[in-house]
Amino acid sequence: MANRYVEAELLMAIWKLGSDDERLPTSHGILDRALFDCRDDLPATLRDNLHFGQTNVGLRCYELPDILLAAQDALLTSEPNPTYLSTNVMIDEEMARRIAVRNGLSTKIAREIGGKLNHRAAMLRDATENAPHFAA
Amino acid sequence: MERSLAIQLKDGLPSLTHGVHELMMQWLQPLKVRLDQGVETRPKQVNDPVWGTVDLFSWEVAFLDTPFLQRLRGVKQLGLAQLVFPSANHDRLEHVVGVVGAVETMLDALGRRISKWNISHEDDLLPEITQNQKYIYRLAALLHDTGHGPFSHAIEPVLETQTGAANPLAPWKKELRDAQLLLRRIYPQNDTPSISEILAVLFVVSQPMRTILAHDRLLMPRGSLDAEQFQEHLAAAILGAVSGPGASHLSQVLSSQIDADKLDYLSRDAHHSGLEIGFDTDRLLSKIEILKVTEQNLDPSLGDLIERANAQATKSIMQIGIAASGFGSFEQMLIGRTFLYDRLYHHHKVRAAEAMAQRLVLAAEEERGKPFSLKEMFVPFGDESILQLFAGNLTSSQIKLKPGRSRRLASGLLNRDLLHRAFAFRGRFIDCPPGLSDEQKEDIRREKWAVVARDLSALATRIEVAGEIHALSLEIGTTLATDAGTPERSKVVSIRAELQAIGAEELIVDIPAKKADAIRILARFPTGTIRVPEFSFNPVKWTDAYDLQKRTGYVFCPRSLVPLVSLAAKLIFLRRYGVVMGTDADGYIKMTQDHTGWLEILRRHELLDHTAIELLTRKRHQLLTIRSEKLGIPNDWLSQDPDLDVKLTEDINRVLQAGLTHEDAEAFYKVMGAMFNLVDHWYGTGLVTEELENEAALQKHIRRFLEMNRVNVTEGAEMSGGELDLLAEGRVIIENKFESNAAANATAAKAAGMQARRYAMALSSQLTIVIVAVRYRAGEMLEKTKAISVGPVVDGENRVALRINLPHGSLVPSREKAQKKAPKV
Repeated sequence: MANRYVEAELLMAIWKLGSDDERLPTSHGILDRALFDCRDDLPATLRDNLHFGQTNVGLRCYELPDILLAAQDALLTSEPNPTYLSTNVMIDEEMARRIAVRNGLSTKIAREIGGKLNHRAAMLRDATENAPHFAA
Repeated sequence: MERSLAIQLKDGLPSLTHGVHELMMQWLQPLKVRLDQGVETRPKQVNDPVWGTVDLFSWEVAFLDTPFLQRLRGVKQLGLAQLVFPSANHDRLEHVVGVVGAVETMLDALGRRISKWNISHEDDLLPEITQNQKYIYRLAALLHDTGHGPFSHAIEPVLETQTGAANPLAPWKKELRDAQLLLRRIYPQNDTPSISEILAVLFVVSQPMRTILAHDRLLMPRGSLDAEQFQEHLAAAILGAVSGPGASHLSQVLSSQIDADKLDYLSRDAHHSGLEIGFDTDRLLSKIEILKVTEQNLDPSLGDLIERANAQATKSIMQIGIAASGFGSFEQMLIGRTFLYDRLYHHHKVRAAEAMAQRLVLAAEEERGKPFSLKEMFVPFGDESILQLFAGNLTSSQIKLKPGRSRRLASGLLNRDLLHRAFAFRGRFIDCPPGLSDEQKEDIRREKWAVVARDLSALATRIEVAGEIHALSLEIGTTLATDAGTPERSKVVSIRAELQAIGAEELIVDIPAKKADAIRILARFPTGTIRVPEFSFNPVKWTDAYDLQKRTGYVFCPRSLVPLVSLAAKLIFLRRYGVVMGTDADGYIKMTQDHTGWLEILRRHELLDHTAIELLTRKRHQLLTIRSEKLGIPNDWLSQDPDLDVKLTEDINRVLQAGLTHEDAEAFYKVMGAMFNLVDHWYGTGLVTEELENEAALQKHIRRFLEMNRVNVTEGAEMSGGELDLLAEGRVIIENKFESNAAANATAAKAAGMQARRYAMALSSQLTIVIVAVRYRAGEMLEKTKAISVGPVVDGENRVALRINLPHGSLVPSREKAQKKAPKV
């Protein structure tokens, strides 16, 4: 997870600003796919450092496991819930805004990007949960 | 026509492939000579503590008996863990032979599952595993760890690190980074390969290797594959390739979430270290299978995989997966591995030894003035011999070393004189000021730890911080040694002398690296559906969480230096990050030194102030970062720039790198609230256009205004050879400046200067506000939201100076125009 802290901070900041207290999906490739679908909207720090590929379990972002681990190590997210399907983003709005500004984003733009990411993730989560065999 | 893997690697990595070619020529030359001479190699049976008897084919024995593989004899599987677990002495050679046994067992198990499936699915047969496929994956098993240099994983980070400004990164090291990107492009469905995997791939696809594989007398059946294609299959197996050159559905037998490598090293490491992990290999092996993935049996949520399957001519893809009834064994394996990490791989003494090995290589490179070549890093010596070389006890024409401080590190490792813990740090150790809610405390702790974790994740920063701790230890030692009142002065004198002798190499800031894992395997459920497993308890994420909970960083140093280095480390963490570890951290350091007597002497010598002593001894809590919501920025300012609050806060926090004490922060918020009101008042009541007589008049305005805002103000205190203009709330220094002449571009806050620093030092204050009455040139007056700017008191110190520009004698826009026209009249 070395050197993934900057991406971790920024991802958590835009999620916080765009989703407030909604949990961040961490499994079944939901966030991977949402990031892929929103990649053109992502700030350069994320867009340029995320790589996607069709792995043996579907589309995945290669860096995302390390980013999520770095976020957890830096206490930006809670320990995952018992099913480990999602996690709480623990940073508050103030910290999220400062991270966004530090990365050259206004609060408004960061909120918009986070909102799109959240919306896309929600759609994907619904599709997964409505699949016949999903057992959360 | 698509270029072969070897050509792509050669074109993309000229320096690295050249170095690899030279090494392989040298390593495989004896085998080539034997083959040319027709010397026969016979099959062998090897006894193995994990897999029983491992049968080796003649061509496997031929490779085994070359410097290419014999080099692994003596490269310890667990790096330097044998210094803590004396029986964990097994080497990479033993492991690779074991993995051959594991591959054979795994392929046999898969073969049985395939036969069983085919009996009941006559119209949907799975392909049987051929003997030729077994030959490929067995040989890949034998070769998969050839990319490991001395001390196994321990020095991998060093291969990617520049050794200092004087030493440029060697071209072959730079190309290792390029190789990661290149291989990810060639094998797009796989993760980024590790350094050792890259090197192993380069070895197996090299020209000398091709010459051997193509040799008639090797007597190795290649089926329909030519030597180059065979090489690509070996490379794909080493990488666990899902697709790309040489990949097949069996490529992951050697490298995936459940692979022969893991099955071997978990059992072997546990066996040799004497740690019992209770891992049911047989059950797990009986539950892995070949999954034929189609749109019909895939869970509909896996759209990407359905698309991939449909894109194939067969409308299906095959890969290794697990039956749902094997989840228990899978969980057991992952949890067992976690306990091995906790108790063995990340044991603090093992970490100290591995950090010493890393620093040893870096220090030796610096001493000789140039980076090691690939050939030097892969000299055919075991770990013990390498240490003897570095310690100066042996010499070799194959690796050039110069005597220096690195020798002490090597001797330390040889004699098990390992470094000791002087300071422990972890997010959960950071304590907060009293009087805050639990939520506030968590916010503060989170904000501080995020900076520490991010900063120290890079080896280069850890080396820099270690250098700072060494320099401060020396400064403290010198100060204490020269003060007649120092308790245990003779001890300090001796520590200082040793510190001078060792240099910064033997002070190591270490935090264990961790690579995240994720579920990357498909499972077949009893209904026949194939999907990514869902666990009520996800063992991969659980192990990540478990590891992080126990993840503690340490500052290591020689045992005799611990009393001084532990104090210096505490001070550096306070200065650099504004954090003090709570009393929990003390339990990790076996040290009884009471620093109290030393601290008072250091304060007298101005190495630290009273506040720092309080924080390090009694209060044990961290400094605070400034929060925008407490600055009290008026709403109408924010309507002009909605991010003004966070921008200003970021600027202040950047200068106040470590932060403020709780008391200082509260005083600052109160004074800043008044300052915003002052600016509002100034702009709103016509003071902007009034002529201000002098500095005294400005000061009068400010004092009156602060008092109206219930800020406690002291005026004209004499100190440090000057007279302080104003002191607010006993902590915030206010300096006034009067500029009678129009000055352009008076916006940027420059360093407030040495006089302000002297006041700040005398008052233990980190906060200075410089209020400047400015006469702007016509048309250049700034909006009030731009009146405040941030800079340091002096560069590089944890003291902030805010500059507030208050315009006076300025023309309102309508009068400016009138005056501009006047000369014409």
